[in-house]
Amino acid sequence: MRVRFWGVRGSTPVPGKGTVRYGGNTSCIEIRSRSGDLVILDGGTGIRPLGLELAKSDPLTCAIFITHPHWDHIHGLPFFAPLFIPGNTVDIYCPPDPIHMRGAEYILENQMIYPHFPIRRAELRADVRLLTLSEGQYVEVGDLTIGNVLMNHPSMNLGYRVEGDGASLFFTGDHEPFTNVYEPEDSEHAEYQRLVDRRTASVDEFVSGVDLLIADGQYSEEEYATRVGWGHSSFGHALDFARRVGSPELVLTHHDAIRNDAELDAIDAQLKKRPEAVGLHVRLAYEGLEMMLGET
Amino acid sequence: MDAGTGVRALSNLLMAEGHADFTFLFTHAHWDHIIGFPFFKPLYSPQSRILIRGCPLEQGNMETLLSRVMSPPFFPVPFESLRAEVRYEEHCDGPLVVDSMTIRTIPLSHPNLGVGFRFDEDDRRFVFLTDNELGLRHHGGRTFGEYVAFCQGADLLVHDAEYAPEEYPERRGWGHSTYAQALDLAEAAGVKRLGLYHHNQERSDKAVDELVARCRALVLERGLDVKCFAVAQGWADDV
Repeated sequence: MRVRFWGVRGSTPVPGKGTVRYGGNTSCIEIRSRSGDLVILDGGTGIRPLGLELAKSDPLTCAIFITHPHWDHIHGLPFFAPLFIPGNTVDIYCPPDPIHMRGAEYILENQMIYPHFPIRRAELRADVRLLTLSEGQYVEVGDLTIGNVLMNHPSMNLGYRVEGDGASLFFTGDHEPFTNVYEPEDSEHAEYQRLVDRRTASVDEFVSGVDLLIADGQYSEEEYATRVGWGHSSFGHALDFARRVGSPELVLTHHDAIRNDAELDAIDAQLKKRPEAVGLHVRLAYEGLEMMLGET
Repeated sequence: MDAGTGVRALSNLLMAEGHADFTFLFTHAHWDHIIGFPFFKPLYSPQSRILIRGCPLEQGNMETLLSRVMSPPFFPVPFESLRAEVRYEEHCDGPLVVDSMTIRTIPLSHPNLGVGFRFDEDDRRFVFLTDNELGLRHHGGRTFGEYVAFCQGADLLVHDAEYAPEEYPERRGWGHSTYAQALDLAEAAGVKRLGLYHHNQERSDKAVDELVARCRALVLERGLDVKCFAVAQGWADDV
């Protein structure tokens, strides 16, 4: 299984002189099985250059799994060239929007509308299917199996576990550790803590044993302290998560839009020196990072 | 003007400079012109006063269109709960006056409508025409002669120059111009400086430089007095 990062930013694209090496594109990860099955996690702006590369090898069959429908995970989709080419088959999976009772159609049909975009969904030439995922549903894409688990974010965010070729990985999407919303002296604290512990354990169990954990690691510990509830993890949260699930490899992504290359270099170096990183291979994701998992 | 992703870095600068009053004008509501709006930091400050001005006949109701960028399930903060004072004011007739600048609009030749802007201050003139296809008159668009009249004598014209002439035939009707068409307009309108804008996604820095070189070669060939350059992120100058 080959993994390649096409977009590693959170919130919004930040192209410019300061972000050339890590890249300014928003979330997108390409996964290939040994026999060529193609799974794409998230459709941030990183999916645009990926699409251009894929357009060289039509006809194409691929499946895109959206962690959640915030812009930075979907706004590259209208620029994914394979959607416009007849003969291609593209399945796009997305969790529902449970608050407004909307499904996967919404994420594409509401981007490809006048007056925001000149081409409408009905005009796409590829065979495009928009499929709403249920929590816990498994999908097979050739040799790859994709399972999901509900994470913790202000939007319904599914974390994806991808298995195939004797290897496995997990991508959190946007995730903040489950935390108790009550103070220890509140009467509801104990009961809520049991819920927090149960959900943490069930996610850990689902992720357990992966060869690679790709995790939200947007904030430093100091930054996180003032952003509790925003739906993202600190570097330390990602390290803890990797240790709990026994992943030998940890890649942090969803870099904050404020960070330039030099700052990310410094974070990467500090991460490697932390005591929690002992025995872990940890690094920050960058555009173009490629990894091989399992036997080649 | 406009709130593509570039507006995030701009807003950091404006906040640092202590600005609290802002007027937004929009060319049109295609995503690349509004998708950065939620990252305009003053939206989250109760001290900010943000005025959006536009004509619904020319570009739709920009307040409604902008609110879609900040609606569930796409963005976690709804438009309705912004801490800044955000107002929308329709303005369709006559020039708009903002401080010492007088601003006029002209409809774009582009799918899904839009407007270009002309800024006059003292005896100086700046025209911003992006997403404008000079080679084809879209619904609501104007003639080449009308764009010439609008740009007449501009000290600076920033114009859509997405394509090289050889790329254009296949993309006719997509709502964009070539650098050569932009130069034709600059020449006919007696423009002093032409800034090429709306660079194609696939154009590397080097390739943009090459388009500028070709534009300058045309200027020499025709013996024109127009300075042609490519607008870059962070570029600024006085007109």
